[in-house]
Amino acid sequence: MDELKIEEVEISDVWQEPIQTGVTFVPRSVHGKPVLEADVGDFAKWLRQSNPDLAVSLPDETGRLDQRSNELWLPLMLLASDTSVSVMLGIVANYLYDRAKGLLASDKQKIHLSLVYEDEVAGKTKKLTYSGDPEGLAKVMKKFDANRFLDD
Amino acid sequence: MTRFTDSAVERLYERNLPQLRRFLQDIDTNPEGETDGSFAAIVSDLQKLELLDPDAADSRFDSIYILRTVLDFFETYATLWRRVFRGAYSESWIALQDAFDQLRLIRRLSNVDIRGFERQLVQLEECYPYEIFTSTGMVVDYVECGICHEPMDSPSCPHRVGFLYRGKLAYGIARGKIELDHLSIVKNPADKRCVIPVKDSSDAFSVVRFLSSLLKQRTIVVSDFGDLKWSTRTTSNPEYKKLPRNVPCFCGSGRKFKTCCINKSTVEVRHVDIVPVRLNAEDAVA
Repeated sequence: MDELKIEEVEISDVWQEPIQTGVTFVPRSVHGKPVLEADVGDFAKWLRQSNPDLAVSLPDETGRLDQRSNELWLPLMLLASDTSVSVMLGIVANYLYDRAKGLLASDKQKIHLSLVYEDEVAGKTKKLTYSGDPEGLAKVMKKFDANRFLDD
Repeated sequence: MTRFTDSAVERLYERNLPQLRRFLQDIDTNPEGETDGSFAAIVSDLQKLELLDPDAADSRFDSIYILRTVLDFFETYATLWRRVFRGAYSESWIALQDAFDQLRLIRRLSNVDIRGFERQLVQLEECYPYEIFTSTGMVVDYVECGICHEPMDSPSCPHRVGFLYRGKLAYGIARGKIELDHLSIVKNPADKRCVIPVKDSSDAFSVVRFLSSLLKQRTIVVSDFGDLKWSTRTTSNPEYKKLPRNVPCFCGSGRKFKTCCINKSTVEVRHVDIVPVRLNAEDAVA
């Protein structure tokens, strides 16, 4: 079942360093060690190759958490003010399409993603969390409007 | 649309289509037969093609890799049905998952039509009892590229896991400290070979065992298998005992029979019909 959650967050709870342009992948702590989900490497590489204008910040010195799952786990993505949520959702959808090329009809795709977006003008930071299939993500994209996101 | 991006490999495949079709027909006539080395001549031709022009375009080497995978798939397909025929159900599940992995690779990297096999094998997968799987979560320091040996996530490595680079499949190697983080029971694992083991003699294999018996009796041949129709049927309850209304129920609940299982003389059971849908060799290998 698809799950979509949008909540207001404090940016200081998510990221303590200066926000880069584009997208920053935020590690999480596992046993006190900063790690990123294993799928991040391929996603970041695909981003650099297919969207060369988008700045991708992949922190060094982070381990990789390999969940050995058939589902796609992306780490928390922090979007700078030059990158809109709807554009990023579209990019993720394209990536899912790329990954689906080798799938059999019986293979089920599922994605887990979270985006944090800060609008410095409005002074609000929100977090979008989605777990579900690509069709559900397409519905979120259709409904989604960056302005509404900030007004929710 | 050509199946392979390299024309020499395409021609080699075309030339060997009759042999591939005969291979499938042989599985029908002798599902227990050994098939090792069946494609030795084609493999030899591929090796010659590989050495013919070391400066050929990447597509030549990629196409050779894919055709080898197609041949591997045929061997795996034969192994799978041989194991089903022999009653080695747990091992046949492994071969089935190997076959799926090969089909995914073929689909992603070529235009070879695999839909006939896919349709049949997805139905075969339904015959098995496995619904939950074990899955480990591990924290690794970094992942090294199997091609350039750089850290896979660094900008210096251009390779993506599962893609071909001049006939070499990119894969990642976990490096540094590797820590087990968790062990999970999941429904959608990366590797369906990680099952909770079931003995071949178990009732859980009743459907695939029935299929095996049909093959042994020659009621059907492998290429006849193509569809399953699941339904529920009402049958008499083997545990039901007709008792006086006011005595304790046979089920051990402690309640009176009249307020417990009095109406449970029949039970609903899942039923499956194996419906023949021919996998024609001409269509399967086109």
